[in-house]
Amino acid sequence: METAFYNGIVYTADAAVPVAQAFVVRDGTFVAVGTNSDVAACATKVDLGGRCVIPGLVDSHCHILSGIQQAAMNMIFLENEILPEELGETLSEEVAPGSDGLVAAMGIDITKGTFSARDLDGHFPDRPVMVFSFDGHALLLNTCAMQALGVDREVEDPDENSYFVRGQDGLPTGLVIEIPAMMRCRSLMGDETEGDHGEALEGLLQAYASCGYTTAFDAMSADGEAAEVFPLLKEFDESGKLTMRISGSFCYHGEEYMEPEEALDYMRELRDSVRSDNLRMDTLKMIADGTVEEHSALLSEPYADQPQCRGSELTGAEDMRTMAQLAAEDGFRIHIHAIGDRAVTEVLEVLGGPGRTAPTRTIAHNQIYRAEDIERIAREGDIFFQTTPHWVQFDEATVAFLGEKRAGRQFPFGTMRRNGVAVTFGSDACVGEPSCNAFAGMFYAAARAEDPERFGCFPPAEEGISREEALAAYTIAGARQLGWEKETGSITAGKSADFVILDRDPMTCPIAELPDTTVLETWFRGEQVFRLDAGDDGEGKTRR
Amino acid sequence: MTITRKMEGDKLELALEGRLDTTTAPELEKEIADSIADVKDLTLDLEKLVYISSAGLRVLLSAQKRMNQQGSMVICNVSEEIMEIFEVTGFSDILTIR
Repeated sequence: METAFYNGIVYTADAAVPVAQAFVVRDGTFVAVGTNSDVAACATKVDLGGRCVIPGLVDSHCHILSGIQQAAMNMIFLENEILPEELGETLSEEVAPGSDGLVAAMGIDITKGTFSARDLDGHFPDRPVMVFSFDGHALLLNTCAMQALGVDREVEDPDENSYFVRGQDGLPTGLVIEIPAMMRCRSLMGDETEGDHGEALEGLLQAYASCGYTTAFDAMSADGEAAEVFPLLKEFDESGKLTMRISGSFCYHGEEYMEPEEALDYMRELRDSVRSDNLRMDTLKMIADGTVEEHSALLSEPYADQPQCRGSELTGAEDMRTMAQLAAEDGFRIHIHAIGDRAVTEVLEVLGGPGRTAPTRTIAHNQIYRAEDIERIAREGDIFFQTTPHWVQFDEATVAFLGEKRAGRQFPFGTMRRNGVAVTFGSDACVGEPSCNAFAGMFYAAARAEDPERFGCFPPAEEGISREEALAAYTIAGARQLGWEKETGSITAGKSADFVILDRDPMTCPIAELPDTTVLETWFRGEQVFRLDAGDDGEGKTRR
Repeated sequence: MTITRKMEGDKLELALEGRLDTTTAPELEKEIADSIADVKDLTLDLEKLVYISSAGLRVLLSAQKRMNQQGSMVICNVSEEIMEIFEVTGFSDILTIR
């Protein structure tokens, strides 16, 4: 069946037809893109009502998979001064948006009042909650948790020192004292089961869809020990529950941790076992240096506030060269973290030398550049410059660490674009973090070009880029970086129908309002995977 | 609480003695934040730790999440009392305890 979406402002990210009014979707694929009259003959039509549509977003560097483990154990820590009547509301503010299932928290002091399930039930009527005391020797359950555990009038106390507190009516109040009785509630948490991880992944996918992402590069999926998420991803994929494409990576830390040949074997195994239309595991990730904040980014000149320090190498240049050569010869993409200018120089040596034949080559983060390296990356022509535009927000600590001169020429994505280098944007985070709001990212990239001082960005203005270029960095350029440009990244006939319907036009709205752009609907392969509920004001969604 | 620090290359071992609670947890947090940048193996020796509160568990969880990104973390010599707290709170599932 064909469905035409018409009467919209469609930014396609396709240079051949940058703006359209309408498009047609058949069997999960765009089959036509054009004007309203082009689609008039289509039997099924959806009136976009003048809304703006963009391609499904591509997060070119994120950590979605680490979120599975973290969400599965996401203990909320509370202040032990908290009173019973404050508990429900405080906890509801702390719970991660998009999450569901058990809420686990810790930190109450049960001597601060008479805690009971009632303190939680108002805010959590149908979701189990367990709140441990700060010393780990008492536990508060809500009614939903008690029902799930079968804690009722009949429940037996392990002994006189460990028991379920009861009211005058003999019913448990929700408070559990001491470890033997608490251990009987442990089953609510489960072990580290696939169920927990499955729920976490479902929540994460829904949260990503609510931000408009339909494709992501996970920048640290496995490093030889932590590949247990793949069976789960495959299961989701096979059962049609995967609402985005995920390209994963193997992170190589150096010979000290794994012999290069052993790493290559492992990467091949992962690549062969994780391969479908929506999943790939075909990228080698390496980490050349650390971060400026920790004084571990490799700099050619010392840190301004620590004249003895020039940062530290995380993976040695020789190790990177050896691994890059093996990976490139075997057809793996290469993606290397480099923040400081000395790391960038090293990584350009690796990517321009032994890694040259990799299908795609990417430098991630790119904070500080020497002029000659800008020339070099431009000369190479097809190395991707990946970064997180939110990081151009001005902060004084960075100026203190780098000195004014270097702080004033960070993240040179304007110069890169002028020199024809492909710039891609990503969150470097798991959803929920402010950097996952791509519209805030577009804002920082464009506001920097408009007036860095007024919008709280690092200068200079010429390192900012236009909104159109920022949209490309979040769509088609990211798809090219991942080798998925034939499938996604633009609204083009023949590509997967991945698109996002927005509440405003991010290309023309007042720039200060750009970060508040709200995703109304996200479509992946022609299926709606997210729709903002009517009446939902977008609270809890990712904001800058 | 006393923290004894032993650094060898990119391996850091911190031996904790006393009580890890609201008062002392910031000290451990600072110690970890200050020295963890280049660390790939972090070991926390809890042999002489007599008490741990939620504030201490919070520091362990954040250290574990951080080390998941850059290497590994191991907790060793855990007393029976503290192991009970790890087990009942589910921390035994996410920490590597030897």
